[in-house]
Amino acid sequence: MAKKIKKGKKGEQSQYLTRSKAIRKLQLTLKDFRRLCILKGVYPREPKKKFEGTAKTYYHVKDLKILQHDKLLDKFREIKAHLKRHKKYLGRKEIKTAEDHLAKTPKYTLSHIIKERYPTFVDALRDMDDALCLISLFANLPQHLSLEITKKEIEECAALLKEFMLYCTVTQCIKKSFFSIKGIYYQVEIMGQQITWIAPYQFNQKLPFDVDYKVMSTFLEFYRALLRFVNFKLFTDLGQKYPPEYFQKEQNRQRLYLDPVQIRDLQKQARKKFESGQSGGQKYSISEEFKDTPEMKKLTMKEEQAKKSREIFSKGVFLLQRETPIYIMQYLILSFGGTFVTEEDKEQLATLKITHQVVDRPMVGKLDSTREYVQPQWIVDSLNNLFLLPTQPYRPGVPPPPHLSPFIDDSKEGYLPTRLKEINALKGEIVDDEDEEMSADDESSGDEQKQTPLPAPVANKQAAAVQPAVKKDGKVKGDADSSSEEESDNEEMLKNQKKVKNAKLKKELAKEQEELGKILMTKKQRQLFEQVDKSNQSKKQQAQKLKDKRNKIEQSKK
Amino acid sequence: MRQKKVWRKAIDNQEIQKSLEDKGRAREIAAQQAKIADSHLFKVATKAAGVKAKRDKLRADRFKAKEYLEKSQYEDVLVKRLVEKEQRKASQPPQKVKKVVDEETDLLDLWADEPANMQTSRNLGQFRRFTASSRTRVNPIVLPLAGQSYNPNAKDHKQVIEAVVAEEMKDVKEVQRQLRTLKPYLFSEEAAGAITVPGSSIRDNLVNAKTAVYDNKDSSSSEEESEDEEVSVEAAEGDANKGKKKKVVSRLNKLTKTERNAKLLRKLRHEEQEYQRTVKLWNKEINKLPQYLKDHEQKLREIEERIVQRKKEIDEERARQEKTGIVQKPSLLGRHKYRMRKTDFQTEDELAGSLRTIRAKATPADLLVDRYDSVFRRNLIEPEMPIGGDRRRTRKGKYKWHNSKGGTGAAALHEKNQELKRKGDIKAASGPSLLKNDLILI
Repeated sequence: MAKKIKKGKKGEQSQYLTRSKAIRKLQLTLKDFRRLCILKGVYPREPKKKFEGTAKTYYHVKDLKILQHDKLLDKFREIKAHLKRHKKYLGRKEIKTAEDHLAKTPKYTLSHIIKERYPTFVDALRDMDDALCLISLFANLPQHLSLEITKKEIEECAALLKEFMLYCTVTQCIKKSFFSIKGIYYQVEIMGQQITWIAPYQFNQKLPFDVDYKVMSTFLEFYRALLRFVNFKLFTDLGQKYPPEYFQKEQNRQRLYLDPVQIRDLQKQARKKFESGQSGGQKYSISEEFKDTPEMKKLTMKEEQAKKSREIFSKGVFLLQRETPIYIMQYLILSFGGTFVTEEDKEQLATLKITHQVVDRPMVGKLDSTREYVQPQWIVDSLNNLFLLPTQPYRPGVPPPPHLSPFIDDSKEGYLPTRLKEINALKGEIVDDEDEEMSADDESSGDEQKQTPLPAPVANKQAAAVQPAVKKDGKVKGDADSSSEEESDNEEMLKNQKKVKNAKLKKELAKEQEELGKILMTKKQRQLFEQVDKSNQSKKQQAQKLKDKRNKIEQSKK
Repeated sequence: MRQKKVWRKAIDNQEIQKSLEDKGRAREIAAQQAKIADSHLFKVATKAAGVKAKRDKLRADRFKAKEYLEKSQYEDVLVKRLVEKEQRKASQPPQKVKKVVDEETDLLDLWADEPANMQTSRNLGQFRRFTASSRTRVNPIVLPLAGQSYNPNAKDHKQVIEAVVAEEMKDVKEVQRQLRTLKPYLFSEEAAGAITVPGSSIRDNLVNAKTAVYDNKDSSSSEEESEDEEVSVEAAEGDANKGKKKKVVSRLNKLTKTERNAKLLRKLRHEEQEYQRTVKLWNKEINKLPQYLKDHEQKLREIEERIVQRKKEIDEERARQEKTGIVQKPSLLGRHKYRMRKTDFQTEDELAGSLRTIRAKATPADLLVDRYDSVFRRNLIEPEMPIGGDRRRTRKGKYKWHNSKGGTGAAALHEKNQELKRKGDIKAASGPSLLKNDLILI
């Protein structure tokens, strides 16, 4: 006869425990349990069958075993016992003894937890988004006694954030920035990992009381430890000491903002180390076959972009007036190769020749003709597009053009804002609306580039047969044979015609397949498909309406 | 006697001899000791023993270790073990002292070692893989929309406002839907007509509205009853007609042969008809069998498709949560379900033209609320408070008595008070009280 399996011994009932049972098993209070879970990275789960009701929270048994065998559990119990004794001393009114006793509270470290949760450095970088958000938040909060926000925590958060931003500035890894109504979005790329976080504007604020500050302070405790270790690793990899020597100098500690001269030196050192690291190791030769592959092209494009981003402001010296957000601008300007000066640096003002003056209020009086007057948005728009935009629309006292988000993929939205078209025209990347659809289809999905530089023969199927490709510097890109122009033109025409034919065939095939698919669908599937199709059509119609409206307005203006 | 002899002969006298020998030896030793002077044997402490002397004595043989060693049977064994232990320690390599990282003063490169060197048990490795695959890693940052820029494009800003309006309308419709189930009299046309009857009190109107709803139900049930009545009347008429055709034969309850035969024939015919009817039904069922099989297959296919569709939806939701951080189908981790925060926006008036005049929608305090919300969005902690209303609480309201009367009865009270006031005013306007007031005025 088969063995009888008792109830609760197999299946999900044996793998999950409710929160109350878990607390009883670990012999902790709810507060300590929550704290331990946050620090260890143990989160509630949703089992397939909620055997004790849908209103309960379930934890996996193995997660709880991990908690059970952790050193922190014993430390929490020791701390609890220690505090109990402290309370007793206070009850007996032995205040001095109580204070001495409190100073001897057992301490614990989180290094083993960080190592467990993030076995590799890249895993730690992946979780930096939330850490940086929270730390930049707390760095701007006021201290509060009852909510247990201490001055020490705030100062530590500010220091850690400064160190991280210093690293990003020195290694010039800031990629994008965006001013939103919520705050400032930054995006950096470290070791191939994109880290995006939001920093608040510096305003006075009142603390909300509908937030559980104990939970947030536990998260903050963990993230502070994480950022400290990450900063240590980043600076040691850069060949520098930690804490960074820049902040050890007395003169730098007294400064409100970074010193551009020292930062430039550090950038040069970092660059040297990077290049020596690359050349010092084994030299790899790239094979001919791999050079023509799209992956290689992507890599070269990325390298070119990185080089461009390092030098975009290299010829610029920016005077930042005090009403501008210098605490943001300093990092962006330095990271993209520029130098800045504030109104308080009189020595620097005398020696350096100012090319751009960043102003955020209407200017009165005579303006210096040797320098450009711009609003802070110009800097962010230029670095997002990796192109020095014309300064005229950004002059002070005039509403600037719309500030576009660099995080939006316009090809997927199906609509290019006018401002973006203007910027593309300035950059020399002319892409028609019809061509966008084709290029979106042809491009691979992981491509970050929204508008690729043409050769237009690939993009413009109608114009290619009639006109030559869009010229950049009088030459067509990818044109290898420059010796006999007529032969090359004929070959190009043939190639273009072939490509047009292929594209037509492809489209027809795709249509046929679609129709076949429709025939094979069931009624329900067909209805769903028609619904989806309808919504897409309505979106296209809306976009078309707006375009027609715009054309009418432009014609009426003429 | 013989046994006693045998016993005496068999006595072992070794012990006696031994004791005699020991006695002799002791006598000899005593004699030798007598010859030796007292000073050679021991010293007598004539002076009072000082603390120093005591200390020295104790130090010399504090725990009487020497005595123990001399008396112990296992002395050799113990010494041997000690020696072996020392030898083993000496042969082992020196143990690495673990560095205790004090976060305040000391930092380690935690990732200096390769991750492959980190030994984990097979089960832990499997569990970690299961955790990674089963848990959705929701994106901590929800990227901003184009219209949430501090200086947005007109079209993008409009899109954001439309999205916000759509969210609000969704909430309004949900509230209306709930009211429709709880207070249908507010939405039905008859109730609307009944409520606006002039001259009648609000209470009467509400009661009428309520009854109007139920009246409709009653009318429909009464129609069914009337139909039944009609059927029953027809049936009764039929019976009555049949009764007219029947011949009542009273022959002392005896049937004739022909009547008996006719009855039998009728019975057989009836049975034959019944049998034919059942055969017909069976044939119908058999003919429908392929259809039934088809329907069953169709149902199975539908179930499979539903499973595939459900899996697809789950995968899509998971991909959306990992990529964008937007949660449309939250997990139920506790009593309450999480609900996404509404889209942040600023109206045209609030939009600032410059960074200097920007009135940030989210100060650090609001961003803190956003971060706190993200803790629940990413399923790190179960939500403890109901978010955006709780359906269960509203469902209970359906069965509460005072809700069915349309409010807490305040309207009825108000009407009553108005009536009393009206009566009081009429009384005050007439009779001696009016004169009294006039006199006071005078």
